[in-house]
Amino acid sequence: MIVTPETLAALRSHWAVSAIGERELERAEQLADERLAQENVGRQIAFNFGPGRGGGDAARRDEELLDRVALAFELAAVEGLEALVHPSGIDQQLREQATAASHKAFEFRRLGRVSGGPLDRILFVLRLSALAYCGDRWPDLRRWYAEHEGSVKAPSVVDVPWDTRVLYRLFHCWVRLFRKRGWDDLDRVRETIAGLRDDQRQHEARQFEDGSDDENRVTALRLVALYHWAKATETLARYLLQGEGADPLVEIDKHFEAAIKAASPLGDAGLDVLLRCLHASAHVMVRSALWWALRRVNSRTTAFVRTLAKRAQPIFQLLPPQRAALLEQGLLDQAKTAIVVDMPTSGGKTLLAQFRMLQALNQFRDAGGWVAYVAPTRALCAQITRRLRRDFEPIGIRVEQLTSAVEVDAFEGDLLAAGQEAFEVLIATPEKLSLAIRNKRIERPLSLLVMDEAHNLEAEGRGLRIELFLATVRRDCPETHFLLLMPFVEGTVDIARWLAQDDSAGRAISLGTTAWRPNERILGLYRAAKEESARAGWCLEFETLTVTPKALRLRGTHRVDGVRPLGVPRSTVLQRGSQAGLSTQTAAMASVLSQRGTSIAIANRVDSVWAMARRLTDSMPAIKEPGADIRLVQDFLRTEIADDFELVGMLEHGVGVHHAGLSDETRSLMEWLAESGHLKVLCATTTIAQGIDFPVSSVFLASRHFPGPWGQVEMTPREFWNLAGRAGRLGHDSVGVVGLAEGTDRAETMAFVQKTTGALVSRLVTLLDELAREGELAGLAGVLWKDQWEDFRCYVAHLCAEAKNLDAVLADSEQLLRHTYGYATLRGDPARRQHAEVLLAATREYATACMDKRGMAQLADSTGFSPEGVSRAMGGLRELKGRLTPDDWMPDSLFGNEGRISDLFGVMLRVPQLKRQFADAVGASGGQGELSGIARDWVNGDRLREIAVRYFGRATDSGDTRAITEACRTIYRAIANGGAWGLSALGALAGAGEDLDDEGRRRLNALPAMVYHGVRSEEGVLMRMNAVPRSVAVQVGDLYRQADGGAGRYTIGHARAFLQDMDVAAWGGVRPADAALSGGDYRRVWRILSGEER
Amino acid sequence: MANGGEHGAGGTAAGVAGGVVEYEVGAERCTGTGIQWSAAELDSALAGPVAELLRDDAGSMLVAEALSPLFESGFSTAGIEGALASEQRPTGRRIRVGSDSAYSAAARRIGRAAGHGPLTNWRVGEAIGEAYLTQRRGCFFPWRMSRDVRRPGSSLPGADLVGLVRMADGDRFAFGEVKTSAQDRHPPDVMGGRSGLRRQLEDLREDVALRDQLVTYLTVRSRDAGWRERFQEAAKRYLRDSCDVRLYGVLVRDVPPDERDLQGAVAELATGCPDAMRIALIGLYLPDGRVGSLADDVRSAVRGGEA
Repeated sequence: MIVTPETLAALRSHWAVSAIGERELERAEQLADERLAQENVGRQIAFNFGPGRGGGDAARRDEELLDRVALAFELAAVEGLEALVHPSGIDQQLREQATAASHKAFEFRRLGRVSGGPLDRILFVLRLSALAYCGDRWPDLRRWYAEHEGSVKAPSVVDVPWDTRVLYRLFHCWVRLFRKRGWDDLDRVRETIAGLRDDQRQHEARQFEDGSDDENRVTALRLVALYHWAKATETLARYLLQGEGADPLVEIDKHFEAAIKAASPLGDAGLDVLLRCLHASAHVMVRSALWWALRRVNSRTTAFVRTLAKRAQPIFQLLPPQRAALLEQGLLDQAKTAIVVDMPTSGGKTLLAQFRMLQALNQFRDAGGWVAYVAPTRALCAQITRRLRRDFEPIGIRVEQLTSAVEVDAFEGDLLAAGQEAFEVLIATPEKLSLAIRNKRIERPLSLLVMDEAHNLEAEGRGLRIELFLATVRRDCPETHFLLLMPFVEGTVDIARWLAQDDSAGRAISLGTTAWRPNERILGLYRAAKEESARAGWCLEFETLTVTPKALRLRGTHRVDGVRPLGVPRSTVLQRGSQAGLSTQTAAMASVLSQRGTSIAIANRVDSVWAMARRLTDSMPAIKEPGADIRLVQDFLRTEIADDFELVGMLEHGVGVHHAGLSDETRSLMEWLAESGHLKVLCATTTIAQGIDFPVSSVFLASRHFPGPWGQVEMTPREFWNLAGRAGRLGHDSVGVVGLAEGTDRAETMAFVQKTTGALVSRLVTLLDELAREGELAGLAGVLWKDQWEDFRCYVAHLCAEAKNLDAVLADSEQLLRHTYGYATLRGDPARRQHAEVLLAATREYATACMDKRGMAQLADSTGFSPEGVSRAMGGLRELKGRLTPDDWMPDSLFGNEGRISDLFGVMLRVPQLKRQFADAVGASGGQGELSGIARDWVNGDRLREIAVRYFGRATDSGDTRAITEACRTIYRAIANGGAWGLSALGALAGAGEDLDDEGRRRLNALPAMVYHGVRSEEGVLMRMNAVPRSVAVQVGDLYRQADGGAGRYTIGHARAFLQDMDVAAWGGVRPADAALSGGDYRRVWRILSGEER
Repeated sequence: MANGGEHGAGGTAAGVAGGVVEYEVGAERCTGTGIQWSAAELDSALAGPVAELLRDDAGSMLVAEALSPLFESGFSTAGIEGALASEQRPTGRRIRVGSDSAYSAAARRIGRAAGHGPLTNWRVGEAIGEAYLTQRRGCFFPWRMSRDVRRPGSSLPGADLVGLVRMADGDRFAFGEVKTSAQDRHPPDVMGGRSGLRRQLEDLREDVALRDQLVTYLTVRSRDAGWRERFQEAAKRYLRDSCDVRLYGVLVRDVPPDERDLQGAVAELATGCPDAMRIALIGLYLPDGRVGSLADDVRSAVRGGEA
């Protein structure tokens, strides 16, 4: 049972809690928040919570108040312990009370000091731990253990009587049970109990020999209680380790109840209450165990759970939201065809998705069903691939990833067409999967579509595309089940019903508003303030905000550690009294708070990110002994980019960089370093909000805006909270810190933080609302030609391409539109019914036009271009001087000195969808000539730095960083995406493969992938698809070809198996002579990037 | 001389006499009262409420239920069974009334709970104290608790008596300690030392955590109990001010009343007694030499009643 704001509110009227009085309660809560902040961040921020806080009497009164409030919640918790132990009973309200009250009691009790002798300590620690478990706060407890190592250490058993020895040993066991740091923790519990049995004969007899009859009777009864407790402990540990026994609770109940009965005549209040608390905790532990939640599911899930329990960082139990989703809200209900999960950031939704995936694979196994996992960015796709491979391959499930290139390349085509042995889980971006599904590349049934970060449905740039992708799946794959994962979305039930196509088959699992959080959060605005104690002095002030329940309630403005942070003069950050240099302020905040763990400093432009990183590097000392991981990444950058690439030196200081001007591999490695705590500060652009899936200690934003497709856009509150949710590492930090630069628009920033996240709104609805506001709704048919509607036009074109004739389209158009969430919403809203009518009419009009040129629509469907794009491209091809011959399309010719790649880029620039992708690059480099030159050099294997200097170098540059950044942006955003897609589409439109034999067609099909990956051989492409660094991809590909013996039956999976078997010597054999990476380093980088390193 | 007891009007009420007040020391926050009982008053108490308090069948059932599945715990049961069986035979040791033996109180509790333990004079003394507070001071003790705090590493703190007291303005928590002494000294040894009455009351006065623990225990026990409302009233009061409780110390003696028995303890306990707290010490003086035969007297009184 998860704690909700409602159960917490109900608790306020409990007799014990209300006895405290609302004002006192609020004060206590505020004090508790202040204490927590002080304890965790007090070294970096000098908190000043205003008057009435201090020493002496005031402090004593505060202390006394906190104790009373803790007791009030504890009494409410204890009152309901029985209900936790008997969950099948009818007293739901009492159970909710016990859970919510334990949750609150823990909040206050954890602030207390552990004092007194060993017995007091044992009692305190075990009671606190029980509260944490009963109140769903065990992740907080783990942190408390880490912060109070001395308190959880078992007292020495030397020279203590036998009954005391048993008690101490049991304490030792329960600390391990509560902590569950690893397999060893639980295994030792069993060992310890077994050891007690061995010791019993000798020690027990001695204690009885020494005692009088009176004493022995007391001892005997206490031992009866302790032995029963020990047996229950052993049963619990065994179950958590191995999941043995159908219902361990029968045994656990029997022995705890007997222990309590034995303790009762002793009149030992402490022992009595403790046993009851631990009994309830044992219930929570069993019901949170993976074994328990999944005890009735298929064997593959059981096998998966077994692997989770046995890995280096084992998982034995579910996080509270995961447990609630599985046990209380029916995540695995097979009757539900669409489930939407709204879960807080870091709530562990990927694991939930994994369980549902295993269920779907099992359900549709005979039909050869497969599961799609859709993630919005390349980085997230790569992360998910690594994780799913790590988790699923040991249980025999093949996981494959499609590249983020828009087109499906030859190898991917083979992969998709292959049978069940090729893959059961496929990871892709929505765009890529959309193309594969529209073109019916996979004949096997799609059992389940998992969409991560599904709130992108409302994103300005690609929301419509994603919504229409879902609509396409709904229409083209009616058997498919859906699982949408998103944070902070209210009213998800509408989305679930829409996807399910049936009210009763959709389910919304809404856990985003529960009281559970991975950790507490401090939210504030920071600004520069004058500091007169030093010349040109300034300091940072942090104003904590109380405007949102999502953060600790802290008042006041507080001074951040240090004068003239980063050694920057005041004039940089304060100009005529106004805030300035916001990215410098942000870097300074990140620098100070990095003492607690990795901080992320976010700016909205790439050059600002580099500037922040430079400032930090200049002011932060070099890491004394950078570990092997930092060295590895440095050598990777030296090899792949340039020996003197600026980021190499930055890493020496623990500073990393993450933005679109870096390769995917580099960004992945930055994330890897940040996740493992090797970075002090990671400087990033706002776009990291889309890609970050790892926790850090603090997050600071210089701006809440980021570049959108049509200019700077403000982050949505949902995006902000999703990003803020990464502040604070589960199991490490009790408190995460999130800051926004106040800048010059304080009021707007404050208002932004207060905005609620609300329900998801379809882009279709938003676009029509905008038109209606501008009074242009009636003219929709005319507006439909604009860029914003391109995805919609592609969708209609797809419908037309599939339709038999115009009449069929017109007759079914409403039904077809109903597949979209937006149209379904409009129809269901009386105020917007007219919008729906207008959309329907405009759709029919456009469809009629489309059906006139049905061939164009079909080409659009196969290429991913809009019909207008197809038309322009074909026009461009027609206008080329000299017809393109089949030879012109061959790699050697196309990328050779006389190749016609430049002509093709010229055509691409006429296609609006591609032109937008090239816009940045064209601006920088001047046009098709440069673009094609870069593409040619990229495919021909030139190093990034060479390309950068050749095309982007300026005489005024002091280093190569700017040029390298520009080159990366152009290559990864324009060439790899637009260029590869354009080549593929133009090849299809020009009929380039028509006169080719199989071999020629295969080579032609490999072209776009060569552009995407920056290599000039098919084998090199295959290696790049398997995460081999570009600097050796062609050479490793040659090895692969030799190993294949010329059979030429390449597949992605076969190539991966080859790489898995490749030893260090083989890697060493292919490394370039001047590479900083050794053979072993190459192998390790490959293992990290491919997810092999587990 | 006056009749003793806040609520009684003197004489015997349901078998517990108010007795005669022989002395009063202290004032307001901490008081000491010496009360003399006659032989008839003692006999009446022993035959009635005291005998009733010493009967406990439910406790012995609990022990039996805890023991039966013990063999399933994997621990050997032989030693335990031997130790528990020892209460069935005479210990062979003379029980020292008012002894500081750490195990004494808990042993008494088990003896009583097991239903077949030796009835000792001090168990009777404790029951007399409880009966007196219940009937003469408006206290209500749902059950008695034994404390075993003095032996480090053996158990956790508590109080002999944990319950409620009804006052004019509502219920409060009442925590009590009882000591029995046949010693002819003023004050007797049971008043001082590490486990003496004074120290035990000081602990209850000072140690909020100890009181919290007792309140938590009462919470567990109050579920579905007839006294739940009274408990909640006291708990609310306690949550507003954790010093708003009543502490009782009962000294059962069989020597002539002497205010020196309580005077020192009253003075010391009054110092530092919080505003809202009240501490009452009661010297209950039985007729000469009766402490040594209390257990036998109860047995005879019960036999007489049954006859």
